[in-house]
Amino acid sequence: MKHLAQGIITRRTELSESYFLLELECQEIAREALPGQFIMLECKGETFLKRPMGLSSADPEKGVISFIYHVTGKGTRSLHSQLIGETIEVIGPLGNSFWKEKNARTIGLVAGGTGIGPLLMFGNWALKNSPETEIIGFIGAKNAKMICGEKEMKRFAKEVYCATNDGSFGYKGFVTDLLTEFLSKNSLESIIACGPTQMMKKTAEIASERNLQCQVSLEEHMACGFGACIGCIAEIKGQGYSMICAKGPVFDASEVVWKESNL
Amino acid sequence: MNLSVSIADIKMKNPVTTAAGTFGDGSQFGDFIDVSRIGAIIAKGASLEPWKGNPPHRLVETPSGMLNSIGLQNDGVEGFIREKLPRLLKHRVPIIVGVFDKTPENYARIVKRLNREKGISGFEINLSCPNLEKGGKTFCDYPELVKEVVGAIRKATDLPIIAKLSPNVTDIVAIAKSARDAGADALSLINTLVGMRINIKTREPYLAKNTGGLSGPAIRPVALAKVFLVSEARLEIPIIGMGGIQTAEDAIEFLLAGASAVAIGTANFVNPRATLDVLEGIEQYMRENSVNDINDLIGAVRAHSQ
Ligand SMILES: Cc1cc2nc3c(=O)[nH]c(=O)nc-3n(C[C@H](O)[C@H](O)[C@H](O)COP(=O)(O)OP(=O)(O)OC[C@H]3O[C@@H](n4cnc5c(N)ncnc54)[C@H](O)[C@@H]3O)c2cc1C
Ligand SMILES: Cc1cc2nc3c(=O)[nH]c(=O)nc-3n(C[C@H](O)[C@H](O)[C@H](O)COP(=O)(O)O)c2cc1C
Ligand code: FES
Repeated sequence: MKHLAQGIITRRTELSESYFLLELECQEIAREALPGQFIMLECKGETFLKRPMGLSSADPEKGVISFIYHVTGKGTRSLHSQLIGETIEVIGPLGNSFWKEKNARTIGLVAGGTGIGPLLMFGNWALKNSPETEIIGFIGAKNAKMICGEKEMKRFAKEVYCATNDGSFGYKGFVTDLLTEFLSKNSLESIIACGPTQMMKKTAEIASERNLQCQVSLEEHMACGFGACIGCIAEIKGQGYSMICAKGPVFDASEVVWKESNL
Repeated sequence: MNLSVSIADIKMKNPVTTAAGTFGDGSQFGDFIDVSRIGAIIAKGASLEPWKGNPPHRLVETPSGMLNSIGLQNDGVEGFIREKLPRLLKHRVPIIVGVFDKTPENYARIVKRLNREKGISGFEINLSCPNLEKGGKTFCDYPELVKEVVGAIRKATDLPIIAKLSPNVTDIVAIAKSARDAGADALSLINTLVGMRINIKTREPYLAKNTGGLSGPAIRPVALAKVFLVSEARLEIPIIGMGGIQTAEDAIEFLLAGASAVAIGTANFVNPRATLDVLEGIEQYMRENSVNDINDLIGAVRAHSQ
């Protein structure tokens, strides 16, 4: 069930340069949220629409949810100026969730930017619910300072590989090139990608060339987040335009019609 | 306390309804509110054949509002009857079905098809579509095109028809008159205003269609003035007011300006409880101000004499 709820900001942790983890006390959403789901978050200030944020954890016992944000525009700037103890309005949990492919023992998680958030939630879920699963993490960022979530991922992943555009940390190049290199010597049975659309598109290509099942969590501008405006569409094979917030955000990568326009 | 109002023959238990294209089939709001408490639902409805809609981006935020270019994506009238209508009717409130297309004949054919379905209370004619037979001129920009479409629909149904007008015109009163003269029973004021935003980094417009429809609180004063102007013209035709209504105070302004009912649109996205928040706020205002009948508020603005 979706809730319109008030969340109390309980903690803000800096994960890397301008990447922050925000924890919210919000019983209703914490009780029900699944990995891959998101919330619509009020950002105050000069914003009008709520902002979609992928959940990075939901603890039903403590009644706390969290997400990772990167300060980019109006909404995240205003969010960043909010203090511990302040209340913000949230709608959630929204959308579908990641799924674990049957028989997939080795899963690659490919993260770019704040896309790490939902992947952390999936990894922690898998650790608890499917301990035989082996997870290999791939994290991409511009430079060493912006690598986000490596430490958190190591808590459940067997191995974590990082790539930076300038080579200041780990592999020099795109995280998708790193993934290709990994796959030339090792194998994965399933891939989950979350991050910039360009990165997910490339990951989808890599997976498809090797016949690997691949899930992607798509992004598009959203007004409602719960299927009322038909604003947040992606083209899905054989189905025309589908609402990302209601049918997704997680899609089987092979069903997505990738186009310049959804970049 | 009486909250019920009438829009032509449509009896609403309260004056709060939903703006077309912003309320899905109502089921999207079931987790947040008891949808059966709303006075009526104006549903987006359908064109004759399915329309794919526009590519992304379809929306972008603006100061106090948003721009959209959804492109009237819908499954066509048969798809609407199969999927959406049954879900709408479950809410047990009057259902007003939006109708839009590219020729007057198609508008009439949609209405004729919907006439055969039980439970529909009326039609809202979205006139903000380009007329394919008239070189793509938007219907609601020209009194004679409005007359043609509304006239064609009038011949096709006995149910109430509500003409939805655009604010993007020089003289909205003239358009309102031609809609009434062609047989419209009520008016919906207003549809979105044309707007635009450009990303200065990429130098591309944010919307794939370059321009889109502006909605939300940003347009409220414009909408209120249009309702007031048409109401002042004493055309003896009820008005459903809409445009940026978020709170009961906003809604009461529209009632005072001459609207017999108010529709909540964009506010539903930001606050899925907006319809009932407005309703409860109106009730509170009536109690606090000893207004026993909501109809006493309609058009009760004390306008300055000119
Ligand atoms: C399903 C989903 C999950 C997301 N999860 C996260 C997350 O965990 N952490 C995070 O920091 N961001 C996430 N985003 C993007 C986020 O919603 C914000 O849009 C982004 O952080 C920039 O917001 P802003 O207000 O600072 O920027 P502004 O430029 O002020 O935003 C203006 C408008 O554009 C929209 N917009 C801008 N960039 C994006 C984008 N990349 N995707 C969608 N809409 C955008 C905003 O929502 C807003 O309506 C997610 C988006 C989606 C669709
Ligand atoms: C996302 C979106 C979709 C809309 N779709 C329709 C539509 O299909 N038909 C229509 O007549 N109006 C449509 N409208 C216009 C609204 O019904 C309403 O007239 C307008 O948005 C002003 O009200 P608001 O500011 O409260 O949203 C749409 C508006 C939005 C924001
Ligand atoms: S954001 Fe409104 S339908 Fe997806």
